[in-house]
Amino acid sequence: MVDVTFTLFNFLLVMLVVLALIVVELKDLLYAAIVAAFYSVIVAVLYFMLQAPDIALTQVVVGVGLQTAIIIITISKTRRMEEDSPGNPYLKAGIIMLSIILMVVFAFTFLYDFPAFGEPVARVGQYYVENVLKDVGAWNAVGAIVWDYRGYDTLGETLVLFTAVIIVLAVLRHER
Amino acid sequence: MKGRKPQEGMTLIVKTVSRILAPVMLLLSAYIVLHGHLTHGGGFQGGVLIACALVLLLLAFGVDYVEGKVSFSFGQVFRSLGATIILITALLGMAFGFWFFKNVGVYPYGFPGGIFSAGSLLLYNIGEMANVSASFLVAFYFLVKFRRRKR
Repeated sequence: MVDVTFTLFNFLLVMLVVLALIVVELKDLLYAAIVAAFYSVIVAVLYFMLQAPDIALTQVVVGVGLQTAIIIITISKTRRMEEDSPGNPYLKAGIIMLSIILMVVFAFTFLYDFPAFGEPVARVGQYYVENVLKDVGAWNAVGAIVWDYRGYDTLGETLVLFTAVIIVLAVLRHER
Repeated sequence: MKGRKPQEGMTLIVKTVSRILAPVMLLLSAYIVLHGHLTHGGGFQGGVLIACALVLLLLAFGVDYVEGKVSFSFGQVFRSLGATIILITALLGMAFGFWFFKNVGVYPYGFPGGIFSAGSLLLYNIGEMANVSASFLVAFYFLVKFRRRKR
């Protein structure tokens, strides 16, 4: 009996690697941006299969919307085609192969010490799931964590975004 | 987009698709924000979706079209308003006799699952939506209008 969900999950993981290679190898950067958006959609589907719909929503909105828009605007201001980078291609391929081999070796060495997949180390999430209706009264447990249990974090993130845009405007104001 | 500046907009096909798609995106983002405490998502996701809808119009119709509808200074005021809403809502906890960021509802507390429930989460989400959407829109205005200085 083949587990359909498990097979689909692994198929999507392989698709991610293939799409990442396509994005790297494409010479037309506009096509690369669109393939990168498709990559984000697959990552969002994976998040959804891991039962994290909030993260999936964020991934879709940022990865497909904002990231693609930024890259398209940047392409319209610079060049669309990527030029061949100088250097010996065999040397570059050798370096890439070496780093892949090193990464696999390190992964097999160190990933054995990690906790099993889907087994959280921090058990605090169980408290939130059990008590969110009593404490906050919100159906969306993630929203309750973001704005109630961990409110200071979100306040800081909001102010970081606010300040970052102020600094962007301050730096670029004289360039208009 | 070969030889076409972003100020001029794109072809008729892109314009028609954006005209159909942008109101749907705005409607979906309103749902995500206002049901932030009930269903998945929240202020950040809805705000980014609003910014995406406006940036889609910006890419399709040109920057002058969108800036005629939502001006630059309006965006600045709107995102400051969002941050102010979040801070005031956080200070309400102190005003009601608790601590900073205590989750107190201004409106009646309601039952779980109603639109007016879960304390001040609705106000927080609306403030975050205003902050995030206007921040990204203003940054995109600057990115589109950016031109290298003549030397």
